[in-house]
Amino acid sequence: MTTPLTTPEDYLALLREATGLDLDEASVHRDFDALAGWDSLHLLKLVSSLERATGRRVPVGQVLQARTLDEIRAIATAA
Amino acid sequence: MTTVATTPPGAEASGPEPESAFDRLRALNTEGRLAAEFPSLPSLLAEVAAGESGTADLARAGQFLARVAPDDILAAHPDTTVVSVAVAGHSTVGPVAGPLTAELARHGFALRLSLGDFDGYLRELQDPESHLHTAGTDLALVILDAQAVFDELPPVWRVEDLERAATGKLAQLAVLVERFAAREGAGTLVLNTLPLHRHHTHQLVDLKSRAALGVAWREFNAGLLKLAARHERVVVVDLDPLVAQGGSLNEPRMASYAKANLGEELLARYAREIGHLARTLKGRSKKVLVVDLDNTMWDGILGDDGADGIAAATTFRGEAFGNFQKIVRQIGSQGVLLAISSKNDQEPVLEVLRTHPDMQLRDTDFVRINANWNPKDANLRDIADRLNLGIDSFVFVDDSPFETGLVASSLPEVAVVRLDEEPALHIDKLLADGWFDVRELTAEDRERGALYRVEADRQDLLDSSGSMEEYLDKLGVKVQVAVVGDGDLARVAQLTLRTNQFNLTTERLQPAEVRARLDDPAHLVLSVRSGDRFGDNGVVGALFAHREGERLHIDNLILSCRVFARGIEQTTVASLLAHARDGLGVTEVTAAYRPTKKNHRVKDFWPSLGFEQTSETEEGELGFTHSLAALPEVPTYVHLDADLGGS
Repeated sequence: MTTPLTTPEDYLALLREATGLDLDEASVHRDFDALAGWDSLHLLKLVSSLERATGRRVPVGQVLQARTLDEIRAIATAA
Repeated sequence: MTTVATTPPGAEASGPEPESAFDRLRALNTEGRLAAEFPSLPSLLAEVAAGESGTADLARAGQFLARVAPDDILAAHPDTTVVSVAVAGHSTVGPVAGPLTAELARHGFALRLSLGDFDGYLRELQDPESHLHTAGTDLALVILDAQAVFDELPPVWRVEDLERAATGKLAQLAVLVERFAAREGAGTLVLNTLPLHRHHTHQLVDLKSRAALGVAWREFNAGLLKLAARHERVVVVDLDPLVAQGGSLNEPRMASYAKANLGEELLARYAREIGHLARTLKGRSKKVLVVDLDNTMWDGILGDDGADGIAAATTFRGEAFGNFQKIVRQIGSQGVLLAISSKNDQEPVLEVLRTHPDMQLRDTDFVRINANWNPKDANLRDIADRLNLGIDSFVFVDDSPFETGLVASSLPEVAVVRLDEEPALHIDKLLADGWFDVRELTAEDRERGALYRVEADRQDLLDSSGSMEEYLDKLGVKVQVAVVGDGDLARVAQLTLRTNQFNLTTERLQPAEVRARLDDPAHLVLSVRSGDRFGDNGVVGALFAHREGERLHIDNLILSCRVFARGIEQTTVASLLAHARDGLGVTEVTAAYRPTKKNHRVKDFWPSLGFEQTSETEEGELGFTHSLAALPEVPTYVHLDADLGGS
């Protein structure tokens, strides 16, 4: 099952599902330290959801260094 | 049947797709109504759990359920049972939060969770101030993985090092567990066996060492499992069968980067075991298994195919049904009552159960056989009434989506096992949940089926008697009230845990807590045995009391619902009051009634024996006093044998 993350809405939907957090578009660009309710476990859930959605392996080492959800999207969708 | 009449609303070509249970949960989350709708979650979660990827979907739902504060649930629904769980671990413990929340919500429990530090298990087990030891904690989970042992090895190691590390770790854990279990008021400690990964064994290249590692590892795990046998408050979850279900033990990147050494899938299965353990601790184990017959217990439809056309042996499919019958029988041999609800005529069903050569189960294995054409929800209610058991203690098994759907929607408190047309999967589906898990089986459990069948004989006597008095007189009720002996301790604890209807204060006591009261000279812990001309009922009741100066206070009185209304309860209290006045020399006896959803029938019990009501709290708890001026009489038809000891 591969759903391309073409629109910001797709990515937001995936984020909400993976984390259970009520995120909005602004939170995608917020630093993790400023993201209410965020913890490292969400990151792990997000990685598995991204891999399911894109059908590709996500470089976890890079994801761990990202500071925002948008950076993670960029890493996951980079060719 | 016309198409119009069978098309359910919402399924028209132009209508929207019917929402899945998971979608409805997600909608409740988006609307912020999970706490408000908490009582409706078990039905939705049961549906999610029954789906193709049940455990994984439950864990996903747990992601957002875990964000609902237990206090918000309690504010909306003050009657909600809260389960307090403290988790410590060797690796990251956070990932268990989601699945655990979902599995508990599925049973209607709100989870109050406290997560320990990364690799904090030794310190948290040791430190009496740690969250594992907090008063009121129901379950203290110490989640271990193989790294707990492997981290102790030198950089380069031989199998002898591993053997030493494993022995040392087991000894260390044994001491910590011992100390934990000895502490007053501690919850139930839950450990787990440590699954071995291929990357552990295959670091050794010589096969001889690899085999020695295998031996040392099994001995370590066996040692852990033995800890549970030594302590009443310790449970060890064996992860081996959960790993054997398949899937990966962990996700190597998550293990490496996030120290999540046990994978999501395994933790989800673990959480399911913990959910059933919580049910057991809260006295909510299921007691009755109701099965369908056609295409559930045998291949074919009796009404259409005839007795010769059904099979539970000899054919491929028949054999699968036969194997399923064996499992049902096995469960029935351990105190679970078996009953039938089948859409058939009664006579042909009885004939098959008595004479068909394929059957592993016979008519005498069932306490009720309801073969008729009434709706199954009505039949389940009928069986519950006849057995005098709450319908929430029922598990219902059927292959028909119509029947399982009907029962799930009209009796949401019944656990429904949804079988399908593949009989080889019946066993896995029935055993996917530990509905009947109990801490320990008692002699009464093993005899329970027979006891309920004798009940039918008593019913016949009642039907042939002119009056209740005549019946009781003919029945020849014998009651023995005595201080609890060692052999009855587990049974007495079980009565406090399992009895809901005749339970005056519903104070649940684990075996260790019963023992503590037995050892306390101020406390009186009595067992009530009963019997009659049809046989011995075993231990059917318990009474807890303690002395406060010139007063004896009855903490609780419990009686199995099997033996209500035969004068046993009056006899027990009458003999206690006589002992209080003449043996203990106290001047009054006090007692209480604490209302629950289930025990309203005994609200007037104390006044009926001459107790005066003295107080009532806002929660409806009633206080009573007996002046001991006039003692109630033991009913004339009861033969009493009381031995309440000297003091």
